[in-house]
Parts: sequence; structure tokens; C-alpha cells
Amino acid sequence: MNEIYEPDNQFLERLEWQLSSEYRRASRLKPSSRKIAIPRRIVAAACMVGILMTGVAVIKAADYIQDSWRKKIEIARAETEIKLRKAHLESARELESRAEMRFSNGLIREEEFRMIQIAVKRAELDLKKSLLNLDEVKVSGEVPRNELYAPLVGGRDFVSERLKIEIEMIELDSEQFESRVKRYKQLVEKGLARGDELSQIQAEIASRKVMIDKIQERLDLRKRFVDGEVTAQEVEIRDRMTVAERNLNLAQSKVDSLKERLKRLKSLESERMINPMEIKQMQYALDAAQAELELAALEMDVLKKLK
Amino acid sequence: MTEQQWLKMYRETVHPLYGYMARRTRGNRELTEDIVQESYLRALDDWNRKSVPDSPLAWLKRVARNILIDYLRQKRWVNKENLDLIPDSGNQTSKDQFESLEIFLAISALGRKKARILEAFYYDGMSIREIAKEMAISERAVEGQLRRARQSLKSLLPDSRPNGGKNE
Repeated sequence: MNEIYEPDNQFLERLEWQLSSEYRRASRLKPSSRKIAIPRRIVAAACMVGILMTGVAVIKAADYIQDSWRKKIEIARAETEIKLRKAHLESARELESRAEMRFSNGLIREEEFRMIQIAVKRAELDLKKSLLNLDEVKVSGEVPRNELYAPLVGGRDFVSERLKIEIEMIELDSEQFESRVKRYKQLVEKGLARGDELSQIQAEIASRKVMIDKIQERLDLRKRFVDGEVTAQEVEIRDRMTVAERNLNLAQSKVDSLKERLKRLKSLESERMINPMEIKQMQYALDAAQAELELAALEMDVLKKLK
Repeated sequence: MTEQQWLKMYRETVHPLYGYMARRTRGNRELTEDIVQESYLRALDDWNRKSVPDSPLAWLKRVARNILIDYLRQKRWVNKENLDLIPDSGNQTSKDQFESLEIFLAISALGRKKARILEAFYYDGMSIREIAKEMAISERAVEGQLRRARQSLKSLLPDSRPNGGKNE
């Protein structure tokens, strides 16, 4: 071989040294070049993980956006409700101030004025409840939950707070009925109203007391859940039992009341003072109430077995 | 690719690559060294970014050839009349080298198949049989293709070449 086609040793040594230096320089500047030594299987696995992570990130981002929108919608809904409640309260207060003047002038009865005052209180409680809902939505970003096993939101027990408002609402109902009882008693004494009407109102008051007791039981149950004494499943069964028991009591009270009224109507029928159709209507109402009672009793049995 | 693998590859390929390029530059040492050096530097950059090719020598030859062609094209148009563009080397004159390089440039301008067969025969010193074996065709086919490639080359070379094409 002609030696002009062969490199000389000086060139070879110089080039080898240069290529060695260049290699080290390139390695320093481009650490990513090491990836060549990584087995393809690992690279493929890493790529898969990367793709999955990207997918998860995209889904999470979509969820985040969706959640963010849901939160905005729920907050807007709660704020709209508050505006309506405020408007309602203002209107009730206006009515109350007018009624106060009319009552002081003797144009309306005390009972009527009392009813308007109760309406104002109810509007205040409605607003209080809406404000509570807004507070919850702002923290959770979701529709307020009323289950007794719902978790605390931002360390706050919104479920209990709503139950307490519910009690206040029922107490207002009872107050309203009591003022009617007072008036009906006077009417019955004067012979202007029947006694069964009075007993019906008294039954309503009794049922409100039962309702308050049951809510109080639910509050206790809620407290035990929050304190970790009972599980969510136990809370659910017990809560359903409380509701079923309340329904049972209400149904029983309704049946008792209807029986009393039917008895009275029958006595009036013997004296031919009423239309026989009224007795039939009352009998139908009693049958329906008894069916409700049986259903409530059946539900209680089922829940007791679950317990 | 580790440093050891890189240098091992260099030692295995530098002699055949240098010979391949020196034959095309007609023994111009300085030009051959520059092109060989540049080819390895490009290889280092490319292989670090991608991966080492299946045949590193083939890759290096292809890159070196392209560097030479680019170099000649550039010099040809910039210094067309300057016969000293290629430095003196060995026992050949600049004039001879220029002529040879002109021919190489003309060969590179032919089609890939013709350039390959002419380079194999004239630069790499391969016999008809060796070319036939490498290209997986008959020896007669090689002779035919070689004849046609020569004719094509002849039509490309101008009569104004320094020696008027007499050496061909």
C-alpha cells in the first residue's frame, strides 16, 4: 500500500487526544448523552410512565377546572339565594312595621300581629341558613351536605348548625300554633268554634315537640359521629330509625286525632247535625292515616333488624 | 457510548477511513487529515445525540465524502483559476491534485450508482470481480456499467481542463 494513503503517527496521536478531550467535554456539557447507555426497555418504561403521568395530569387539570367551575356555580347559586332571602326579609320587616302601627291603632288583632312577627323571624332564619350554606360552599366547593355522617368542612360542623336552625324554625311553628290555641280556646268558650278544631291544633303542637325531640336526637348522634364514637354506617341506620320513629309517632298522633274527630262526627250524625258525607270523608282520612302508620311501623321493624 | 468504546471505534476505523479519503484527495495529506478529523467530530456530536450506527465506518466514509464534495464545490467556484488552492503534498504537484479533484467532483455529480462503481474501481482499487461480488451482480454487468459511467463522466469533463482530459 502506498504510504501516502496511510496516516502518520503524529496525526493519529494528535487526533486521538483531541477526540478524547472532545468526548469528555461533550459529556460534561451534555449529561443527557448518558441516556444512550440506558437499556431501551427502561427508556420505554419511563416513556410509558411519562405518558401516563401526563394523562393523569391532564385529567387532574380537567377535574380541577371542572371543580373550579362547579364551585363558582354553587357559590353563585348560594349568593343568589341570599339576595332573595334578604329581599324577603326586608319586605317582611316593612310589613311588620306597618302591622305594628295598625295593631297599636287597634286595626288588627294581637294574633295577626304576632303572625307577622313570626314571619319576620322565619325570614331571618332562612337568611341565616343561606349564609351558612354559602360559607360551606366557599370551603368545600360542593352542594352543602345534610347527612349526619358528612365530614366536617374546614373544621366546622355545618350539619349541626343547620339542625339547630331547623329546631328554631319548628319552635316558631309551635309559637304560631300556640297563639292560635289561645284564640281558639276563647272561640270554643264562646261557642264560636268546635272543640275538635282546637284539639287538631293541639295535636300539631304536640307533633312539633316530637319533631324537636327527634332533631335533638339527631344532633346527639351527629356529635357522637364527629367525636368518633360511631361509624358512618351506624349513624346512617340510627338516623333512619330516628326519622322512621318520628314518622311513626306523627302517624300515630294523626290516627288518634282522626279517630277522636270521627267519634265526634258520628255523635253529631246521630243527632242529624251533619252531612253523612263528612263522616265518609273522615273515615277515608282515617284509613289513609292508618296505612301510613302501618308503613312507618314496617320501616321501623326493618331498621331494627338491620341494627 | 463510553470513552473507551469511542476510542476503540476510532482506532478500528481511522486507517480505512484515512485511506478511503486519501485516495479521493489523491494523497493530499493536509486535506485528508482535515476531513478525517472533521468526520470524527461530527460523529461524536451525532452519535451522542442519537446512537452509534450499525456500521460506524460506512457512516464515517459517507460523511467524509460529503465534506470533501462540499469543500471542492466551494473552492471550485471561489478560486476557479487558482491552481494553488490545494496545498502541495508528497510527490504530486498541485496541478495534478486539482485535476484529480476535478475528476472526483465530476464523479460525485454523476448518479449514485455510477459514482459508486467508478470510485470503487479507480479510487478504492477494487477489481471487477470484487465489485461484482459487493454489488451482487455479474462481472459483465459491472463492466457494462463501468463503461457507461466512464462515458457519462467524459461528457461532464470540459476540454479546458489543464491536461485536456488526456490522462483519462
